[in-house]
Parts: sequence; C-alpha cells; structure tokens
Amino acid sequence: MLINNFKSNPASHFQNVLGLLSPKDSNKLIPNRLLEITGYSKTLLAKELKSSRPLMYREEIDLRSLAQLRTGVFQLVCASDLIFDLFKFNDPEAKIYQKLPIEVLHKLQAETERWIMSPNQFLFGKSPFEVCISGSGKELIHWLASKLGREISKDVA
Amino acid sequence: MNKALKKNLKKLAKVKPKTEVKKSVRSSKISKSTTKIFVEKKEDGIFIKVSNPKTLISFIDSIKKSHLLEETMQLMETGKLFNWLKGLDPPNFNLYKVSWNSDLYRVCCADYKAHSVAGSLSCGGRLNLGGSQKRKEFFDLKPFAALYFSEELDTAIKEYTDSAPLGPKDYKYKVSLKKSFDLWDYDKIIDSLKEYPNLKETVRSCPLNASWADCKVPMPSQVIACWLKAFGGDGFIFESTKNHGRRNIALIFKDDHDAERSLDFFII
Repeated sequence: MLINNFKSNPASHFQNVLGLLSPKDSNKLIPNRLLEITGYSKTLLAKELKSSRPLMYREEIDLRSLAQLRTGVFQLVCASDLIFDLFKFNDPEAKIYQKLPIEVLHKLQAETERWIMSPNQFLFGKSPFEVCISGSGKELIHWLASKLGREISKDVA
Repeated sequence: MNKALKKNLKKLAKVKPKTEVKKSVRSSKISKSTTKIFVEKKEDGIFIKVSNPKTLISFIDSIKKSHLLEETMQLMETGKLFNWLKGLDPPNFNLYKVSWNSDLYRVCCADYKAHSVAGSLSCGGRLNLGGSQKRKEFFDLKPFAALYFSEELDTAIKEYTDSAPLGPKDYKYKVSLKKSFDLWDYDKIIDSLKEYPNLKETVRSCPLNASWADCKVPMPSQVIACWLKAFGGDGFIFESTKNHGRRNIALIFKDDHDAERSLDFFII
C-alpha cells in the first residue's frame, strides 16, 4: 500500500482491510461495518462520530460533504491498514502464502479489529479508534508507517 | 379563629418573598431531565447550582470527557507534586547510586538514529521532560534528553511491542558502554517518598513507549526525574512494567555527540 501523492482522492489508495469503506465508492462509509467492529449502539456511535443518529440507519454515508468525519474515518482506515500489514509481517502463516487463505485473512482481520478497539499504551490508554475518529491519529499513523518503512501523505495524517 | 391569629396571618400575607437577583452570564441544560443546571460565571470563578445530585454526576462526567479538563487535572496533580518535592531535603546520591557498565539493548525504528537525542528532547519520555511538556507554570523544569535501554533484549522487545508488533523497519540494537554510568535507583527513590499518596502507582502508569509528542503536560515521573537530575547522576535505573523483575535504564545525554562518544551500537 503506497499512500503517497494522492491529493486528488486519498480513499482510492486504501486497502480497506476492514471493509469500512464501500467497495464501489471509497468515499462512502458503511456504518453497519463500523457498528460491528465497535460493538456500539447506533446512538453511541453517532455520538462518537459527532454526527446525527439517522445517518447510522443508512447503508452508506457519503463522506465528501462531511469534512470532519471524513478525516476521522480516513485516519481509522489508514491506521487499520497499517496495523493489518504489521500483523501480517509477524504472522508465520501469512509469510508462507503469496495470496492469503481466507482463514488467515479472517484471523488477521480479527486481530486488527481487536487492536483498533483496545486501550493502547502508545496513546496513553486511549483506543486507536477513539484517537483516529477524533482526527488526532496523525502521530499514530506516522509511527505505524515508520515501522513498515512507508511514507504517509499529509492528506491523511 | 381568634383576632390575634387573623392579624398574624394578614401580616404574613403582606410580606413579599425575597428573590435572589443573579447575573447569569450563560446557562446550560445538559440533560433532558426536568432538573436544569445553571452555570454562572463570575469574576472569581464558576458556580454551578443543581437541585438533583444525579444530574450533577452526569454533568461532571460530561466535563471529564473533555480534553481540557483532563489537562487541567493533570496540571494540578503535577503542580501538587512539584511543590511537595520543592519542600524536601535533597536526597543523598550515594545512598541511591547504581554503577552500570554492562551491555544494554534497545529497539527502535530505522527512521531514527539509535543514538539521536533529538526526538527525546523535543517530545520527551517517561522520565525526561521534553519540549512538548514545557509549561510556563513550571519554569523551573527544564527539558533534557535521555535514551532508553533495557538490560536484556527480551525486555526491550516487550517494552517496544506492547502497543504494536515489530515491523520490518524496527531494528534491535546491542549497546556497549564506553564508560561506567552512575544511575539513580528510581524505584528506591519512589519508595523513600512514601509520604506522597499513590506515588508508585502514578509513576508506573506513565508509559515508556508512547506518543509523548501528544502529551502537553509534565507527568509526575518526569517531575521526579527533573528534581533528581539537579543533584547529579548520569541517568536512572527502574523496573520494567512489561517484564516483571527486569530493569530499564534511561541515560542522560547533552547531545548526539555525547551519546556517540559514550555508546557503541550494533544491530542484532
């Protein structure tokens, strides 16, 4: 995943490993997927995203007009892509295969989801989800990218 | 009813109830419950008037969530410790001294030079105050740089990978010391400061590997280290919170050249 030089559309460069963005249009968020990952209720998620509750009932939320939410979601997607790759790098099974078998992929996705929602020492006890969704995930993303030897565009972080 | 009683009742009816006139600058309704909370701002502070204690608790919780209050609360705690330490007698370094000249281990990202103190000086660390935590309220506390090591590789990896797994650009270093370092036994010092409530827990809660650039308030562990540094020593030795019974070491350096002169790094 090279997420550099994408001023036009940063979303198109994401791997979107957790499936948070729509496969058809990567500028659209799938709220149901976010509800699954977080385990939050619609009310709580709307509060976390600082958006209205009715939006959570939609199949997809267009992020183009919601600048603040867009930044938060993109940071979350970027961080989850990077941590997925780190887990993949450390997984002995993932090293064997060129293309990941579905079981390994699910295992890595579950690990990524767990990491996203767990309190993190690097973030002084806050979860990566909390930090990214509030738009403060810059340091976290740069740290994860540096571990992988990647560069991150200013558009995301 | 007798005449006297009638007179008294008439008098009482004439008395107008006293009303409090308050200049309310802003009022806020924080919940949908029937009880309203009025926040009055006066010159010398903010006054909150509530009739239902349950609403007050939810109001406090909602404020606690805000970053501003977290920062203010941390500042108050740090200030309390800072003033308390100022009133203490200087500790005798010889009583807490540990001399160290064995090899050390460090894990860090390839993007940063292993001996570079630039990041440490600007962002800070568990024991060293960085530019990010510099506050005018604590003008006595001056930033200084420190590099963090572990006495064995396993501990270094555990400290580093608690937040995220190792990546291809995370290098492991074996560090040999060119001279002996006199270190403060940090845990022994903390034990000696037992008059201060919950100091050990407070200090241990400060993470070693964290996004210190985001921390804008001096932490208690940093305040104690600043206080000790004024009385000498080349660094600190303290127990690892990730590998029980093993120790980490923080060495103080003036600049990159100072670190290069004192240490040799080997990638393993």
